[in-house]
Amino acid sequence: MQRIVLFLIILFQVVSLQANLPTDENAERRTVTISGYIKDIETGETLLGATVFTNPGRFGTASNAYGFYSLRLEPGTYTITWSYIGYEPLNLLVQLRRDTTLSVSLHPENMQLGEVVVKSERFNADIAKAQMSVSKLDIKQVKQIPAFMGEVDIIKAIQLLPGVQATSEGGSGFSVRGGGPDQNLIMLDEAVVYNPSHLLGFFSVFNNDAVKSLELYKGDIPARYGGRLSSVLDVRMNDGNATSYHGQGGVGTISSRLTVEGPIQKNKSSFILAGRRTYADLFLALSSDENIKNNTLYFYDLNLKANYILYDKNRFFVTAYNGKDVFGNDFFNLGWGNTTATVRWNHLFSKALFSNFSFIYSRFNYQLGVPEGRPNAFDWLADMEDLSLKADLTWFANDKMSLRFGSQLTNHRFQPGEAGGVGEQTPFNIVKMPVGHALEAAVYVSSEHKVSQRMTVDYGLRFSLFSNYGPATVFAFDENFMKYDSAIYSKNDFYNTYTAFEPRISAAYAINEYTSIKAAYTRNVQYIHMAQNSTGGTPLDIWFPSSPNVKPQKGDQFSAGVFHNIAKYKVETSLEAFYKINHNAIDFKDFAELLLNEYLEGELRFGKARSYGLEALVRLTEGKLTGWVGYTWSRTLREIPEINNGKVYPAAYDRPHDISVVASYQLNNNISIGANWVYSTGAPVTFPTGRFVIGNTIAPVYSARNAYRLPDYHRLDVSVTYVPTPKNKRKWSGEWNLSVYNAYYRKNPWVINFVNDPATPNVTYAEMTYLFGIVPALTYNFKF
Amino acid sequence: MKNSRFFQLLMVLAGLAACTERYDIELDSSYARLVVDGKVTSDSLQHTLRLTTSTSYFYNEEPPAVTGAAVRLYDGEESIPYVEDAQRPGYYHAAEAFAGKAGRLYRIEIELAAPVGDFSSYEASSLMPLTFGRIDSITLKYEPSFDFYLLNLFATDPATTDFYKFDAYVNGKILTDTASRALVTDDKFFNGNNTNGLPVMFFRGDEIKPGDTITLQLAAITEDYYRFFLELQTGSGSSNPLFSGPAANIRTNVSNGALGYFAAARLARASLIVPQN
Repeated sequence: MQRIVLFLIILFQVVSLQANLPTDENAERRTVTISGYIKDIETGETLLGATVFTNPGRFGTASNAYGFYSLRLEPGTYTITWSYIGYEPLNLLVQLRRDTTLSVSLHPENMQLGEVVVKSERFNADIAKAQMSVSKLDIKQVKQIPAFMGEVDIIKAIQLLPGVQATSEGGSGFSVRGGGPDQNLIMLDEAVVYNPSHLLGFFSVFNNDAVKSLELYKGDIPARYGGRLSSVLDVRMNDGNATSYHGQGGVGTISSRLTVEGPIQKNKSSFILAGRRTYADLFLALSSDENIKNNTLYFYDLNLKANYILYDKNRFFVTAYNGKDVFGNDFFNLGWGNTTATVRWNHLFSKALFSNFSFIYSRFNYQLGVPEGRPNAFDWLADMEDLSLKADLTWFANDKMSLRFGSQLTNHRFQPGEAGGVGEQTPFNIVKMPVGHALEAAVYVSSEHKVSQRMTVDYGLRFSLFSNYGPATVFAFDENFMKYDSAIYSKNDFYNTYTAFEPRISAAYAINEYTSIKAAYTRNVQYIHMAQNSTGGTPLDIWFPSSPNVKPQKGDQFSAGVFHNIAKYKVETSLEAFYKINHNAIDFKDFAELLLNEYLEGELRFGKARSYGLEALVRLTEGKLTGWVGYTWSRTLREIPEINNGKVYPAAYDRPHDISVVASYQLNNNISIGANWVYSTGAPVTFPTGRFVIGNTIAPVYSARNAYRLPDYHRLDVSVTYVPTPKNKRKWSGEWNLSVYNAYYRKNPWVINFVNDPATPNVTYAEMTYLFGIVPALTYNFKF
Repeated sequence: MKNSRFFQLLMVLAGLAACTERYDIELDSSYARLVVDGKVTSDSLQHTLRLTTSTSYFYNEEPPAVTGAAVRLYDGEESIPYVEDAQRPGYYHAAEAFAGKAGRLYRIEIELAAPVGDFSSYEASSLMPLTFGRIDSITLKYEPSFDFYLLNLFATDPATTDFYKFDAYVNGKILTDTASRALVTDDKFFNGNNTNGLPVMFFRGDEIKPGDTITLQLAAITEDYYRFFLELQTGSGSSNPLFSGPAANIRTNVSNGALGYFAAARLARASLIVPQN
């Protein structure tokens, strides 16, 4: 059945078409603006990155992070197409004489078997744009990927993209193009999430019911983001259904979720409240064993968002997130969590000048200790807090150019640790690390410039400033990294400042509508760093600022690629090459002491790190079969004078070959199947080349760092989702999801240890530890 | 405050129990180096030094002894020769009994009969610490839920920055002869205080029984030896990607690329008899 969308369009009542009164100014201008919001017709949720395309003229744009688009055109008659993955495109014949506001709502695609939907040509936005090295995932796509223990997880999904790797099995840490996990800027509605992991990283903090979309910049990071070298993960929360009340949730193997959303005033304000909690501890309570019974073990996430539209020109958003992990028993307790809050104001100064102002709060803290009453009772706290102000403006200057400019100011507060005894009888003193303070500021301007019909150039400049301020004690270290002097600074004394220009440029040349070549150069500077020496990632993160002893990390990245869309099959393909260098890479001395160490800066070693590689991606975006195949070849090498005798060594995240296959297939109306397979070269490791004996202890001798590799890693996960046909027009709909992690029981070594056989004194052998066998999980998801 | 045991527990509780199995692997081997293992203590005895060489990792025998070396100890005033043990190759004992004195810098000089690792002359020195904690008493507490005993220490730490190593003896036999069982600590958390029952040693339920004599040995050690011992514990213990840093060579205070350590330590002891129940 063929659908001629154009004629059906007039039936859509949701199209709000309003024209401005003509002004003299408009009459004189040669171009007019068409602008508005792009939304989901059912929920009123704004659609991010939806495309707008005109014919004739073949002008195109995409909606921004708030679903707003603006396009400058010469007056005339156009067929305008709004489209978004997973939605039916909307075509309208529009006579443009003056500035026009046209907000549209798109219908989610309803996949009917046997029905061939012939769609109008989609604007190949990604082909024409100069932006490269970016991956966008819609939460619907993420939900089709088999999930570990049934917990759909956006971080696990991005780990399947080319150029992105998990830093350890099952962990939430990820390395982008060889960078460290602390080089990723992870944001939830603009607030930085410093530690995205729950339960030692096996789950991430993002509750998928509350997430709308995510974008990952692996390189060519736009000037509006800053402060990290490797990547930006921009996660946006749902705004809440603006038309009616709904709920959704799930009952899973380890956790349950519930989300409620709805209008506060219809089409004017809405809210969403989402919660998730694990319940392993509820089973522990049933145990007859006192030791197990007295354990507390859970994590939770709470997301809240509300928005309010005032006179169409203003939109206010409030987002809050709180998540925490809690573990405790009679002997030990541990808790950590993130708290973020964002208050935003979108304002349209004119149809062509969009602005957003944000006030952002972000906190990560942890606590561990031995409960009171025990002889070694103690408490250990660490905390870091950010307060930020941000302004971002977009000016759709003309049909060839749009300008973004803005500024950001962040106050950082670091409390790297305070530990001490509990109770009057305690033997322990209080050991308190000094609190660090710093201001981070930036201004930026960038331009998307359509130089010709075929050529688009983005260029931008970010100027950043970082200033440490007192009270502070700064130690001076000699050439052997021993403290020899200290300087004391008083309150609010700005004693050290770094500034940097961070230029970037990228260009796309469209060979035709479906093929383009792109190249980009970006400089990024990172002022705060994480003291972490393991690959897995623990909650015991210590972030520390650049200082007189610690130069900011400074990175240059070059990338180039070919992009081709096969329109007929809705296939996107790309091949990208990159080279990047970190001029001030930070590493840690052997056996570094990172926790509760006042002289932490003396444990740091500085050098260079570089990565290079090729990433290939074939992605099916629509149809019964969707998913992607990604292949990456890359190397990541480090050179630090005091490490590995100054010789170049592979970084912990150097995994030359990396393959991800992600597929989901809609078998019929009720059943869909998902599968993903990953393969990567084993992680580099250091194995002993000799041993020596001290007393009865056998100790290893090493020659070169990371000279060996673990066996190659590979794993298959599968899932089946069954959606029962609704019996009647009930509001309630449910689905069952069965997922199996590591379906063919690959024993992927997590670590190889060398141990002394307890039975035979002089015998040593290698021992491999793997984490997961086959892990099945059943989840029931519902909507109402 | 070692947390890895706790995290293992946490992971087991999360239903994510890790599995371990033996693994065949081939390793390169590097050249043999001299290994020095010796110390001078405040006890009056003929102090011992052991000389061996390093081997390939899966050598699986006693390390090769280095015999025929000339060993001599200097304490800043006089020198004491070491004599090779006739029964146990590679062991050398001071020719006469002596007690190490606080504040002395002890230097050992080793002249090999044949070079090992390109060198035949080696030396190492270590300072006998000036200050150390005074043991007031020790107590033993049984933890029925995990079937182990904790030994709690009441001792007075001086105001100086001090480093300690704790060893335990059961009926005169050392229990902590592998690095992982001994405890080394700095006094960051109790500097200048009474340790007030700080647990310094544990015994599994099957390691001691009522009537046994337990002796706790406190050794005041140098900061460098403290760090050596921590590195030895880390390097010889098992690692995991969550908490372990990159593998690295263990420090040494012996010259010319040798391995091992020559330490000086001041000792104090306290004993108790394991009570019924």
